[in-house]
Amino acid sequence: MRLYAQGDHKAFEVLYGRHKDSLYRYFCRQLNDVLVAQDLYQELWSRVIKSSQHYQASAKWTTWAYRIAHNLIIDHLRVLKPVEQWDEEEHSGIESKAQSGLSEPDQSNEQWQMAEQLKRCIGQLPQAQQEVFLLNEEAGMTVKVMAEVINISSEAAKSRLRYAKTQLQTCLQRFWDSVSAADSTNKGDQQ
Amino acid sequence: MSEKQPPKETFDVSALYRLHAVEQPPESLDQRILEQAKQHTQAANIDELDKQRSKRLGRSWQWPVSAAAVVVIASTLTIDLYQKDGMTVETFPEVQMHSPLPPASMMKPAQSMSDLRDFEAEHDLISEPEMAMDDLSEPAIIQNKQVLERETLRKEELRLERSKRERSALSSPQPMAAEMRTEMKAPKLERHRSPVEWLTEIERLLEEGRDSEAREALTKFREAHPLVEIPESIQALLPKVNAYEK
Repeated sequence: MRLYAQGDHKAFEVLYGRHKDSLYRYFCRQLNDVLVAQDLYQELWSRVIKSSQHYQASAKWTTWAYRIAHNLIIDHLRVLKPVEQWDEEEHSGIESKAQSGLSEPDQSNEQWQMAEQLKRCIGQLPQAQQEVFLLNEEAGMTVKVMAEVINISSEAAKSRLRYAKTQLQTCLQRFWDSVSAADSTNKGDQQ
Repeated sequence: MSEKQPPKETFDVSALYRLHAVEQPPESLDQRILEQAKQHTQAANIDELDKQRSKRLGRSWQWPVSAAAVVVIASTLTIDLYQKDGMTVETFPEVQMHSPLPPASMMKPAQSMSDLRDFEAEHDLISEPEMAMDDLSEPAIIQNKQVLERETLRKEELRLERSKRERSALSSPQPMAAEMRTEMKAPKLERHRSPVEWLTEIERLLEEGRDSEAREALTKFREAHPLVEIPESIQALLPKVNAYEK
């Protein structure tokens, strides 16, 4: 980033290539709207470019960039729905929604089906939990860094991450159970 | 139970996530962002160049402007200093003109005011237009003579008017402020007065019996024109002036 601030465009290309996919997915997974995700993604990079002259390496670049991304998403979501509603959803479970994404499993590609289901389960997580999970998976951030990005306490970040993982396990388990049940029914019918 | 049932809570969420984390920004979006970054870099470089250029330009102007300022200040101070010392720019040529010692013939005392006028005319103390008569045709000579006559008349008028003004200033009582103003103006007037006018004034003072004023005027005259010969009629005052000076 410092090199880019000094006028080295190649340095920006390297930086962009390194972080573009994870940042793009960070937006896509949380927003569930590709066009909005692309808009915010572009806005993020615009801000990065404009701030390059004043960038000070006081923290890791990823922390700084994901904080900008977090703020963009929060601003977008606040425009879409009132804060109260957003806060309520943050603590609600996803059990009721877990079945909505069920599809007929393909025996030859169980892993792929589970991955598809995981994607759906992530989409059904409350936004706060989604965010910590994505920060952890996409940017490989520790709880401490995540807390810094989202501007919450480390305990809260840790709790959100644990809750998100538990919810995802539950969602996947339910999916697996339903698939297994359907599979045994089919086998019984065939016999 | 199904044979592919995995143990509970053992889904590797991270592995499953990575399996499906394949979304990438579209190529066009990548290009747009990279282009924006490039433009920003170029704009920043241009700004930087402009800054450097303006800095350089400012530096290149520093010396000439400083030098010009120094010249202006120095000349202002010099002029101011000369004015304070009672040396106007107008008096310079006169001082320069009299600085070399005159020949011995010029050192003898003048017999009368007419001698003094001759002396002034000889040494170009009265500034009159120089005419090369020989080079001019007859109508031109007549025209020049008329111009000279007109000029002489104008000078005479001016002289009479000035002496009248001085006489009235001396005779009529004036308020304090006006007196001070006159006193402040006096040295300047004297500086512009020609030696002949000055000596005429001194003669007039002597005739009126105002000896002390005449002596004072003669002292000032001597200071202003140390090399001009003093007519005999006034020379009687000279020893007293010297004594007064001492």
